[in-house]
Amino acid sequence: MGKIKCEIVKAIMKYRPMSRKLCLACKGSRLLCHRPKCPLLTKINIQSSFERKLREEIFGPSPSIFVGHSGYPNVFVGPLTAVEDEKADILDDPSKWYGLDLEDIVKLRSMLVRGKTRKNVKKMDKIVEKNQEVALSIKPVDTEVKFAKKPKYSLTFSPVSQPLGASGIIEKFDVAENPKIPKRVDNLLEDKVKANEAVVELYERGYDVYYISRAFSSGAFGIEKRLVPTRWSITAVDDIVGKHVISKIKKYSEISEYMVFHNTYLYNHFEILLMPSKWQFEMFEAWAPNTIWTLAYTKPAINVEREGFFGRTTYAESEAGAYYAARLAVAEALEKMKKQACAVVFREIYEGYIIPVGVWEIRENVRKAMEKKPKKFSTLKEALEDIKTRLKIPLEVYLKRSSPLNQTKLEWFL
Amino acid sequence: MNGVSKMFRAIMPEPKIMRNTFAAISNLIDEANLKAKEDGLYLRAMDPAHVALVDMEMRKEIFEEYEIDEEKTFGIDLDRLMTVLKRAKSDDRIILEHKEEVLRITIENSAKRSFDLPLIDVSEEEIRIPELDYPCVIEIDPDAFEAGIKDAETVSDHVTLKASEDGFFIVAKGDLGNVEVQIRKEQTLTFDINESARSMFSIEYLKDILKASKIADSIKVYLGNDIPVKLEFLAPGIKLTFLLAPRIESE
Repeated sequence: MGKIKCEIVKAIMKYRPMSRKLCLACKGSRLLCHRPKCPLLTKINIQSSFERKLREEIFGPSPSIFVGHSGYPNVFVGPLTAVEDEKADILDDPSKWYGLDLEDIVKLRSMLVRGKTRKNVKKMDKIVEKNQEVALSIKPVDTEVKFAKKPKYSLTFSPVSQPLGASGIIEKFDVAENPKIPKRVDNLLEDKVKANEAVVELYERGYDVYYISRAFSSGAFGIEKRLVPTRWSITAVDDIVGKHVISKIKKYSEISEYMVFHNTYLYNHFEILLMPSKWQFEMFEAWAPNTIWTLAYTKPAINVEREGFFGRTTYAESEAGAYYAARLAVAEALEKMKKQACAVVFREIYEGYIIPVGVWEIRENVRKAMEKKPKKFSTLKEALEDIKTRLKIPLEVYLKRSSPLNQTKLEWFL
Repeated sequence: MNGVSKMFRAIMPEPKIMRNTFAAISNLIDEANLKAKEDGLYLRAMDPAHVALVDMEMRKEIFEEYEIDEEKTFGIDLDRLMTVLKRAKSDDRIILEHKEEVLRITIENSAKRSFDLPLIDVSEEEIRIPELDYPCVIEIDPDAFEAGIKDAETVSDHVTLKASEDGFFIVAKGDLGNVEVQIRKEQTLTFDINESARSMFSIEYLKDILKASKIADSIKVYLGNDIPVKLEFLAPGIKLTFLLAPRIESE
C-alpha cells in the first residue's frame, strides 16, 4: 500500500467509532446523521510535497473552477489553479485519468489550489464572469490569485465530484490571458436557450460531459443563469445527456443475443449484461464491508435501482450519481451499436476502495468495459453462468433482488 | 381528400369514465391503436417489455351518441390523450370526432374547447393473448386489492398472489420483514377454486394496473400456478382486462 493511501486509512480509522449503517444510504450528501458535516469526508490532513509551493499569491494555469454546495444558495465559487505549469490540462479532466491508481489521483488533485469567494448563485457579477471564462475555456487559462492568507493543504472527498486539495479565501482574482471559448458556447451565454437544450446541443457537437458539466456549473446555460454546485452539475449533466441518448436508442431494434461486458478499475468491478428486449436499466451496487461507507457492516451491502422503458419519476437515491453515470456509459455504447436492450449492471466495490474519487470512475470504468469485445450467449442462463465466475458475491444474492432477470414475458405462455 | 362520407363521432357524457380507463392504460403503454367499430371502441396493446397486456372494450351504449360508417383505427399517443382528458371536468361532455389526419376531442360545457390529436403510426401487428386454464377465479373489492398491494410494497418490490380454500392472499417477503394480507372467502364477491394456486408478480406493474380500480366495483382475478394473472375490471358498458406475466420465484 502506498504512503498516501496509508495515511488516508489512518485518518479514516480515527472516525471509525461513529460509523453507522446510515452512511451507505447517505454517502456524505444527505447528512442523515444530523451532523453539520460528514465526519467521514472531513478534511484529511496528510503531507503533500506540493505544500511548499503554496503562497499567498499564486500565478498559474487554471484548468477549471469549483462551485461548492454547502450554504446554498450562498456558495463558494472560484478557480482551481495549478501550482505547476506542467500537465495543468489534465488535472480536472477525468477522461484522461483512466488507469491511474488512488495514490496518483490524490497526487494529481493535490497540484490544484481551490480559490473561494462566497456568492449567491443568482448573482452574475464580474467575479462570476471571470470564473465562467475559466470554466468555458477549452484550455487552462493563466490566472493570478491573491489569497487572504496562505492556502492550507488538506484533502476533501466527495462521492460525486473529484477530490480537492488545498484551498483558501480569495482576495483578488484576475484572468491573465484570453480564454479559448468555442464560438457556439459563447453564443449560448447570450441565448435564451433552456439549460437542458444547451447541454444536449453541446453533447451532440462532440463535447464530453466533463466540459459540459464544468460549463453548466459556471452558470453559462439556461434562461435564468445561475451557478450550480459542481457535484449537482455532474449528475444533472449525466441525467440530461443520458435521457437524450436513451430517447435515441429506444428507436433502434433490439439486440439478438445476450452480451456480457466487464472491467475492473480502482477496486471497482463491473459486469454489464445486455439482454434482447426494449430499453430497461437496472444497476446493483454491492459494497464490501470496510469501504468508507460500510465500516459498520460485516457482510456486503447491496443497493439496487432501476428504470423501465418510460424512465424514472424519482431520483435514484440509494445509488445517486453513480446510477446516472453508469446509465450514460451503457446508453452511449448502445447508441454506437444502434441497438436497444435491457441492461443489468453489477458493480462490486472491493475493500481497497477506501476513498471516493468521484463518479467519473464509474463512467470511465463502464465506458472501458463497453469498449471491449463482449462475450455473446444465446440464453440468459449461459450469460449468468459466465458472469458468476467473476463476481465475488453469490449470483443468487443479486438474482432475488432483480426485476428484469426474474420477469417472464407474455409470449412465453402462447 | 375531404372525407365527406367517412365519419366517426361519439359523445361521452361522463369524462370520468374515459379518464380513469385511459389512466390505467397510459401508465403501461405509450402508444396504441384505438379501434372504432360499429359496436364500440376497442384497444389492445402490450407494454414495451412484453410483461403486461391490456384489452379494452367500451361499448357504444355508454355513449350518448355513437355514429360510425366504417371501422376506423386511430394510432394514438396515450400521454397526449391523457393530457387532453385531464382538461375535462366532471360536468363536461366529451366529443370524439375523426377529422382527416387527427382525432378531434371537444370538451363541451359553457365553452367549446377542441383539441386535435395527431394520429401516429402504430404497428398493426396482431397481439395474441395466451389461452390459459385458471384453477382459481375470485371476485374481490378493488380497493382491498389495491390496499393489499400497497401494504406489500412496504417490504418488497414483488408479491405472491395466492388462492386456496381459506381465501385470497397477498404475500410479500423482503429484507425489511414480511407482509401477509388475507381476504377471507366470506369477504370475496365470488369464489371459484378447483385447486389452490400461486404466482409471483412485480408490484410496480400491479400498482399501474390497479389504477383502473376507479372505474369498477369489483375486480375478477384469474390465478394459476406460475402463469400470467388475468385481472378483469367490469363496469357498465366497459370491460377492461389486463394480463400480467409472472416473475420467476427464485427464493
